[in-house]
Amino acid sequence: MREPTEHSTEPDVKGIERRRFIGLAIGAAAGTALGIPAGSVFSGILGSAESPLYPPKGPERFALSVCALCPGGCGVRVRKIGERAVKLEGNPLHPVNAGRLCPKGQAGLQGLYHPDRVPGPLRRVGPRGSLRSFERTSWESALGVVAARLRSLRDQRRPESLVLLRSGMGGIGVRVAQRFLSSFGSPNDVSLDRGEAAASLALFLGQGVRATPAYDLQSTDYVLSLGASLLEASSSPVYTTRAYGEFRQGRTGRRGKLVQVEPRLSPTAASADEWIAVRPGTEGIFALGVAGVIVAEGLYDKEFVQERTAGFEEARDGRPSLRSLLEKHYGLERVASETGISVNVILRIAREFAAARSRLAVGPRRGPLLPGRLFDHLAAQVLNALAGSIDTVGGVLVPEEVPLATWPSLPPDPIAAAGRAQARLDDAGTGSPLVVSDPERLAEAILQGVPYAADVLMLAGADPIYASAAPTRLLAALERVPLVVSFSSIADDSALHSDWILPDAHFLERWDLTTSPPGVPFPVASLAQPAVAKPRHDVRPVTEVLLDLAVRVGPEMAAALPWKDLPTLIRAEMNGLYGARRGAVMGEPFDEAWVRMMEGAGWWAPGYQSADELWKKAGESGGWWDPFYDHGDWKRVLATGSGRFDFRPELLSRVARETPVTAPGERTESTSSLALYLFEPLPIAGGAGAELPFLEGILDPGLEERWETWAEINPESAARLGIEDRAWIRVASPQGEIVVRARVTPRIVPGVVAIPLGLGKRAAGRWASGIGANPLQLLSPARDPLCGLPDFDATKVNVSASSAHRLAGERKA
Amino acid sequence: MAESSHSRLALLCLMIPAMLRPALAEAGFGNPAKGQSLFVSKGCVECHAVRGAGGRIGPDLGRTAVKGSFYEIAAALWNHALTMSDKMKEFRLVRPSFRDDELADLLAFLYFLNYFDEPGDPKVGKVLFAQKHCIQCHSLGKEGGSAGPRLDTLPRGTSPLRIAQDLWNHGPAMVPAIRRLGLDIPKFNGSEIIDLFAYLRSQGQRQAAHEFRSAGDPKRGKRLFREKGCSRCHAVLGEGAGIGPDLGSAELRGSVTQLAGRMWNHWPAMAEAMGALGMAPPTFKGEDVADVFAFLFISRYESRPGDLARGRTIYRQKGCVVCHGQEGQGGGIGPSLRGSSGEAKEQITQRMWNHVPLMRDKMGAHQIPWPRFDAEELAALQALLADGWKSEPASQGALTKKQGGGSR
Repeated sequence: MREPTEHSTEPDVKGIERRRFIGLAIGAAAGTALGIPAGSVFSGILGSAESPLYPPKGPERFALSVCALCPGGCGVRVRKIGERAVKLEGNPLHPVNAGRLCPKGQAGLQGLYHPDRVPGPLRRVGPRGSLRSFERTSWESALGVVAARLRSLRDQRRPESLVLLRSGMGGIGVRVAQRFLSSFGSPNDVSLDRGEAAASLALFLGQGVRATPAYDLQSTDYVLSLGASLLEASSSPVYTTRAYGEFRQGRTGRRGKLVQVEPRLSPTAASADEWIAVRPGTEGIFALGVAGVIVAEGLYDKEFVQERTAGFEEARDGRPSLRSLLEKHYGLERVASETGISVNVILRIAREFAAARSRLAVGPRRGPLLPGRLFDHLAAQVLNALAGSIDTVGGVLVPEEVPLATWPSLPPDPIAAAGRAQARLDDAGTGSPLVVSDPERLAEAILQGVPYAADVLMLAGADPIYASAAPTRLLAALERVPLVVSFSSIADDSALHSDWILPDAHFLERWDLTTSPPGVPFPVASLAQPAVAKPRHDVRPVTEVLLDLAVRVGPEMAAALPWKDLPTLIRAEMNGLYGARRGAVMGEPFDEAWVRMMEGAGWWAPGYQSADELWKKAGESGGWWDPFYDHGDWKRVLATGSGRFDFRPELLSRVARETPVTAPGERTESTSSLALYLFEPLPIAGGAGAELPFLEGILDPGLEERWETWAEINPESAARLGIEDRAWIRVASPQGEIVVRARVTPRIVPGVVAIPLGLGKRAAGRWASGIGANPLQLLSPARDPLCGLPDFDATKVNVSASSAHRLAGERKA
Repeated sequence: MAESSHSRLALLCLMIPAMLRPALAEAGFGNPAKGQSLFVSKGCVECHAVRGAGGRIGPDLGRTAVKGSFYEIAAALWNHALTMSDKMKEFRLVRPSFRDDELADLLAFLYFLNYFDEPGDPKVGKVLFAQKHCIQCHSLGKEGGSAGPRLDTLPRGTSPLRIAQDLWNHGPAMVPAIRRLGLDIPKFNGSEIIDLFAYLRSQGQRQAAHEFRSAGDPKRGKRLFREKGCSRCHAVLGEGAGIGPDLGSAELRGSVTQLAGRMWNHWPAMAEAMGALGMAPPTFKGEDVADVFAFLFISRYESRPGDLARGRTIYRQKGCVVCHGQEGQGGGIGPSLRGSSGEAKEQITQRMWNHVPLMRDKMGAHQIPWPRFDAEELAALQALLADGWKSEPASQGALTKKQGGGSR
C-alpha cells in the first residue's frame, strides 16, 4: 500500500517549466491568486479562468451528447453560455434516461474542467511509475514513433504481439479499435469490462444467445433479486431506477414487490420490501432452494417448461435432470443450513414468487467490476424459466442488435490474416471457452512470454493496475512490455507505468455513436456531438488517433479504415439505421407508444424520408431507437441446439458436487478471518468517479461516508475482534493488505467484512490520488469454477485493529 | 455541431408520412400527424392515454372511447366537456382551446387510432387455427396438413393487410377445397381474426416492418374500388349500388383487420352474387388491399349529412334557442350563431368547443341544463349552423356537402 505521506497532488512534468505546467493544468495558479489554497477541493474549478467566478459571456445554447462516465448510456443536454459548458442535464427525449441524470452524470463537468487533465501527448524519459518521468511532446512526434513501432511489428510478421486492453470504451470507439486490431493482425482485444460477463454467460448457456440480458423490471409484479445492485451500480443506473419507479409506483393499483437476497443491506436491500440476509456466496443456493419448492409443489409454468425447455426431466442420454438435482442437493434443510435462512422463509418466498402474476429473478451483478458468480446467475435463470418469465412482458428479455450499417469486409492482407489466426494471449475462447476476455491470464502470458511476447500494449480507458483482479501481476506484466501506450485523460495508475500518454478527449469534446447500453432491451443509437467547439487541451479522441495511426502504419490498414474522420464514419454507420426500415428518432414518451403500436401492427412510419433527414433529426433529438420489442420470437431468443431453454443441470450439479455441505455448527466463527464482500457505490462504480470531488463527497447514502474507504463489520464480529466503530483497521490477505476505517453496523451479516471498490488510486488526479484503499489488492486468485472468471467472493481476510496506522489514517482523513 | 432546438413541438416526430397527407387532406381529413402533436401540446395526454401511454385521469382513447365517424367523436368530445373542465380544475390543468385547423387535426388523429388493432393473442390464435380447421390443410412448423401452402413462410410481424390480401386471393382455390372436405367455410367473429393473424404473424422469421407510407393511398383505393367491381354491388355512405351492404354503415366499422375478417366472411355469398352478375371475384396484388382499405377507412370518417329540419328541432329542444335566439340571430345572453354559416363541420365544432367555459357560466346563471348530443343530433344541429338559417323550414332536407356541413 502506498504510504499516505507520498501524496502527489501536483503533476510535475520534466522538460516543462514547473510553473508553466501548473498554469496549463487549470486552476492552481489562479486559485492561489484568489487566495484559495492550492490543493483545496475547489481550487481547480473555482480558480479557473472558466470558473463561475468569471461570468461567461454569450448566448445560451444547448448541445446533445452521451454521458461516458459509466456504461449506462444516458443522453445529456449540455447548457452552454457562449462556449462554456455550464451544466449537464438529462436529454428529455433520450429513451434511456428521459431527462434524468445520476450524480455521476451531474458531476461530468468536473471532468471536463479537471485541473489535472493531461495537457497533451507525454513521453516517458525517466523510470516508470511517476508522472515526473514524463515530458511534453507533440502529436506528430508521438504518433510517428508509435506508428514506426507498429510498422516494424508487421515487418517482422509479428502483428499478434500488439495487445489492446480496454475499458469503458463504449460506442464507436470499440468498433474502431476492433477494426484497428483486425486489420493490423492481432487477436488480442482484451476488455476489462466484465460487469455483464456472468449474466451474459448464463443467458448464453440457457438460451444460446450472446447478449446481455435485459430485465423487464417496469412490467413485472415480483422481483427476487439475488444481490443485484439494482439501485446503485446497475448496468444502466438511470434506466434501471426509472424502471424501478415504474415497478413500484407507476401503475395504478399495482405495486411490485422487491425481495433482496444479499448479505449486506445495500441501498437496494434498504429499499426492498424484504431483505433476506443470506450468508455471502449462498444467493444461488437460496434460489435453487426456492426452485426446489416450486418444482416439488408443482407451482411452475408447466406449459412453458414442457414446450420450451430442456433438462427439466431425466433424459434418455443419462444427463441429470433439474428435478433430480433439486431433490438431491437442494432440499429445504440443506438450503436453510447453507444460507442461514429459515425453511419457512424459503417456502413463503417460493410460493409468493410462483403466485405473482409476473415474476422475475435477477442474478447477483453488483457493479461494473463485480459480475457475480455464474452459478448464481444460472440459478436465477432456472427460476425465470420455471416461472415462464423468459421473453415475456415482465420477464427476461434479449436485446436486439442495433442495425448499424455493416462495415466493408477487410481487404486481403496475408500478414494480418496470419496474425489474427494466432492464439489470444489471454486464452479466452479457447483454453477458457466461456470467457470472452481475461486480463489476469493476459498478465501471466506476458510475464511468461508464452505463447509469444507482447511488444506493444495499448491501454484505452483501462487501468489494469488498479481495476483488475490481480493488480500486482498486471503491474509486473506492464513492466515487461517494451512499449506501453496509455490514452488516459487524467493520468491513472497504469498510465504512470506506460511509455507514452496520448490523452483522450473528454466525452463532451468528441463525436460518438453509442449503441444500446447493457440491460436496456430496445436498440438505441445515441449520437453524441462535441459540446464545446474545441478541446480544452491538446488532446485527441482515441478513435481519431487510431484512424490516424492506421494511415501511418501502411496502406493495408488505411484501406481497412478509410474514413477521413469520425463524423464521416458515424454517418456511414447511421445509414444502416435508415436502411433497416424500423424505429424512429428519439421523441416524447407518447411518440414511443405510437411507434410501438405501429410496429406492433407491422407498420413503419419513420418521420424521416431520407438518410440525410435521419442524420439531421438524430442530431436534434439525440439519436435513433426502436421501442418495439417483439416478445416470443423463439427462434431468436432460444437459439440453443434444441431450440429450447436449457436448465443446464449438468453444470449446476458440478457445483453441487464441489460445494461441501456444511453442518450448521461449522459456521460459527473461531478466528479473525472474515469473508471479504466487495460492493460498488454508484459515485465510484467501475473504478471511475473518484477523480471528481463532487462524487468523493457522496460515497454512501447510509453511513454518510466520504473521502475515504470504509469497511462494514457486524457488531457481533466487531465485538469478537475488538474493533470499534470508526477505528482504523488492517485488512490483510496473502495477496496484500489495506488500512481502512471500520464502520460497525448491523447492515452486514456476521462473519463478513464489506468494503467498497473505487478508491485507493495512486494517481488519477489530485482528488483521487492517495484517497482510500483498493480492496482488489486483497483478492485471492480463485476462479469461478464454472466459467473461469475471477471469483470476487472467495477471499478470506484477517481483520485487526491497527494502532500503527492510526496516525497515518488520521492524517489522511 | 448541431444545437438542440429543445422545443417540445419541433421535436415531436411526425409519424404520419408525407405521402399520406395529401390524400388525407383531399378526403376532407385533418392532419393526424399535427393532431398527434396537439394531443401532447394541448395537454390531452396529461389525462388520457393511448394504449397505455399517457395520463390515467380520463379513459384510454386507444382502447375505449372514440371509435366512430367524425360526429361520433365530436359528440363524445362535447359531452365530456363539463366533466373534463371539473377534472382539469381539480388537477390544476389549463383547459385547451383550439384555433385554425387544430381541432380537425386532433379529431383526425383520434380517428386514425382505430386503424390499428389491439395486439391479438397468439395463443388464442393457435387454438382458432385448429378450431377453424385451417390446420387440416396448412402447416406451421411440424404440424398441419399439406393440401394448402405452408403458413410459417409469412414474415414474422408482417402487416395484417398482407395476410388479408393473401387470404382473399386464396378464396377461389380454398372455398371449393374446404367444401370437398365437407367442412364449413370458416367465419370470424369479434376479435377472432385479430388473434388468428397474431398467431400467423408470430411465426416465421422477423423482417423489417412495412413502411406506412404505402399503408394506404385512399385515392388509388377509390379507383380500385370501382375498377375491381366492388362498387357494382357496394355503396359507400349511400353513394353507389345497393346489392351488397353499404360499406360506410356503422355496423361495418372497426379496425382494418376486423374489416378483413368481415370481408372474408362474405366471400361465399359474394362469389355467388358475382357469379350471377357474370363477374369473377377480384384478386389483389401489391398494395391493392391496403389502398382499398384506406379508402374505406377514410370514407367512414364521414357520416350521412345532418337533416336541417331535425337540426331546428334539436336547436329548440336542447335549449340553444334560449340564449342564441329563435333564428340563431343572438339574444341578450348568447351571441349570434349566423357567423358559422358556410363553415365546415370541424370549424363549427371548434367554435362550439371554445365557447364551453363562457357558455357554462351563462347556463349556470340561467339554470339551463347542459345539452348533450348523440352523433345524429350533432350532425343535424351543425347542418343548421352551417346553413345559417338561410333555407326555409318548408324546404327541409338533408344538406349536400356543397351546401356546407360537409367536409372542409
